[in-house]
Amino acid sequence: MERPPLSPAPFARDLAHRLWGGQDDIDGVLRKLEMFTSVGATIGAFEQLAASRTLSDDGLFGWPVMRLRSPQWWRSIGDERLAGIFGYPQVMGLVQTRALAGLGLILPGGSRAQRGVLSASMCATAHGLHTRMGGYGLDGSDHLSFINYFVAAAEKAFGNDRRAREALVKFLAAQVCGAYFSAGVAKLASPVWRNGTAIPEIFRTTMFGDSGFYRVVNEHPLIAKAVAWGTIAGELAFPLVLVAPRPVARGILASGFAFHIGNARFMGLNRFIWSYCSTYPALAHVSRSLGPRTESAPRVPASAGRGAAGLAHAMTSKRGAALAAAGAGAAALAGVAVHRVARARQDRLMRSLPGSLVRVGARDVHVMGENRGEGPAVVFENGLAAPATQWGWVMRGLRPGTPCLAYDRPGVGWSEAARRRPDPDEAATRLLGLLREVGLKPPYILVGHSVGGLLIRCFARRHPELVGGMVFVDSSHPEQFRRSPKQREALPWIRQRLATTQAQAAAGLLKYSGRTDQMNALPDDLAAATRDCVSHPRIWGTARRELAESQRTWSADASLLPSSASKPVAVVTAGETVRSDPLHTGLQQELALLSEVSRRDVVSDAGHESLVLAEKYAPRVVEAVEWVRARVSAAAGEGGADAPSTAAAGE
Amino acid sequence: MDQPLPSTVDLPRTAARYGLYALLVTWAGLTVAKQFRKTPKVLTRIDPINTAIPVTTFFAPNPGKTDIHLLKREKLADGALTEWSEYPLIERRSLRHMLWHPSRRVEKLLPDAVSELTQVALEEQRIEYLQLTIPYLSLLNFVTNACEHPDGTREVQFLIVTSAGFEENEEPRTLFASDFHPIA
Repeated sequence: MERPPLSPAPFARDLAHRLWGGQDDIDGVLRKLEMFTSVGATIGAFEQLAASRTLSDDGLFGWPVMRLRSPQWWRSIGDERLAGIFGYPQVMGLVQTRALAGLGLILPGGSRAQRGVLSASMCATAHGLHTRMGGYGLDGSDHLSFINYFVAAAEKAFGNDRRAREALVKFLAAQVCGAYFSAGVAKLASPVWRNGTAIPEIFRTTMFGDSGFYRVVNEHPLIAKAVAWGTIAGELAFPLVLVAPRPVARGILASGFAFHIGNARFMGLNRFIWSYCSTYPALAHVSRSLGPRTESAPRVPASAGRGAAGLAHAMTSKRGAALAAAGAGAAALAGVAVHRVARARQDRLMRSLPGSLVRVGARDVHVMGENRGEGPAVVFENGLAAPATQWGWVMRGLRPGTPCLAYDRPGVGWSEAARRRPDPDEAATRLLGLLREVGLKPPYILVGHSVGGLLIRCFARRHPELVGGMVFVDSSHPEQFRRSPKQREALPWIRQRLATTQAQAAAGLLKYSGRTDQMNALPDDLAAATRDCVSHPRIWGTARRELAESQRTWSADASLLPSSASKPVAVVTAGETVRSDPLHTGLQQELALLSEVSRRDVVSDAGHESLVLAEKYAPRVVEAVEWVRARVSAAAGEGGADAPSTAAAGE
Repeated sequence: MDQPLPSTVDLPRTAARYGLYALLVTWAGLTVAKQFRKTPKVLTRIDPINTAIPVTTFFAPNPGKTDIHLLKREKLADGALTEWSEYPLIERRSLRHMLWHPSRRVEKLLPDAVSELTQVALEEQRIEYLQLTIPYLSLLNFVTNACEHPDGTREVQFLIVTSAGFEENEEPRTLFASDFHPIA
């Protein structure tokens, strides 16, 4: 007895055809796109009708304010006419039109022309409402819906041109795959996504989170990390749906659907399911394994897909061997070229040497300054990724005859790199060796900018007898990353920025990024050399290692410096840093408490870097240095300690 | 069955198709350009509200991790100040949101507006300038006209506060306080 063929019941098949069947395969894809996108868009329109007060003149989307953002060409039609369309309650007519057009596209039975007009209406009302809302309150589902409706409407306009219709479906597939992929790339580039902390941070919010889900990912960091990496991998892999074998492509689409269901449940992103998943039939149409070309596509020869064995066979053939040799030759040439470029870059850097090189411990150290003169010597310690030239204006502002020294730590600026880890002992030993080599006599006034402030504390702890006083220039505090949430949150981003800057510099692109422009604030004879120096990848690699070391040892060591009754301390703080992190003020006050003889100054308009680099702010640093120097000189002259005093300067 | 080849090229149709290709390629290119932190200014001119050329980096690289709250207080005729009171705009998550979420657009407006306001505030310190920005005016319009005020109110002030949502161990932070503005 013959068995009937396995097929859907005629009723279900007929119903499916009535709902989303098309005149041909492309029309079928577009019909599904219109129908499912319209479910989300119609829900959106009804949501706006339910919350219509938000569009009233008193509401957050009030026309009296939002009209100020409408494009110039809209305003040219006149305020009165515009208010007739977008004022309240007239604007609700647009929302109602959208709801009706959406329903029209959900219901079966429309002709292609009718569907084209309805899709075009959805585009037009979306543009009108988005502009009416000033661009606020929109999300990715609104934007993709607009593209979906554009494709649906344009396809009707090219009804007799199969190639144009195919191009529109491919465009839609490219937009959707691009959206997933760019979301994945942006997450992969983010340290908080890579370490998984982004997940509890998002889900702790009432707006995009869920209390139950937050509890789970907050208590189980491994789950949070798995969710983060699952999202990154899924988004990055999504475009493979276009080329992967059938089961993999289907799996990708199923994962995408599950992802949007999860987002709707735990993040409240309800309309994304409709706008994104409605494009999946279009993706399947374009896909190599799921699309209509699968049956007619030429099969790949069996001999081509034997994996490693096939590759080994290809390599042993004459042509394969020639290709391998050519590849190896090209790699060797590329290696030589990279080496030569790096060498030429280093040579160019050394030709711009602004100071002189001193040999200390079998290494060349770049120094600037003056070792002759009277009174306490000023020793500058740079911040991260900053060469000695950063002190250009400050050194020129010191009184004539002031002995001073600015230098580059190993691997920074023009100094040779060192193999040993720059822990506090090593850093202090190197600085002491350098001071002896250049013949600079104590007492020293140590001036530290940024992390340089930690290093001068480490030195002062080891050699208190050599240090007369200290100046902290928008200095790091040993506990800033522990006590300031803002700075703690910024830390992974600083690491990331240093790494990307190093990569940019290695590719020779940094000089075009504008990041070196701040060095133009330096004196003319130092600006160009400093720009070259910070365009070199090595300084950023050293900065990454120094930042890690500052976390590992410098901060803890610096915090052990005891306060002094008599050695003067001046603290100069950049106003911009205080504004971006209010806790910075308290931390800077604590630096001043390192001595009973102290002085604080906040330079209101200065930034962390410009406080040192800019001609207009450098005098405030000089003032602080001279204040400390005067007290050290007086103490030396009197042969005793100063009377305790505290001063505040500036704003 | 194969269709017969056209004997002549349909010029208007071919031209329209190539015009469409050019439009789609340009659109795709502009969408790629839009994903970068520094976008060409021409993109803002072409699509000032990102309807057609969206940013699709969703929650990355730096996702929002705070709720934003809108508070207001009044200055009465005798100069006394009322307590700060919050106007609740965010709904707690429920299953219903999977299908129906009418408060979402207003919830989303707040971070959009505050992000724009703080961005302007970083670059522009003149309060008169800030007070003429769209986000400031939008929030002021709302607290002045849509929120209820006690009798005798002469002026109103709004405050933007961030909180860590379900994480109760973290203190709320003040982000922005407006001037007092007269009630019309």
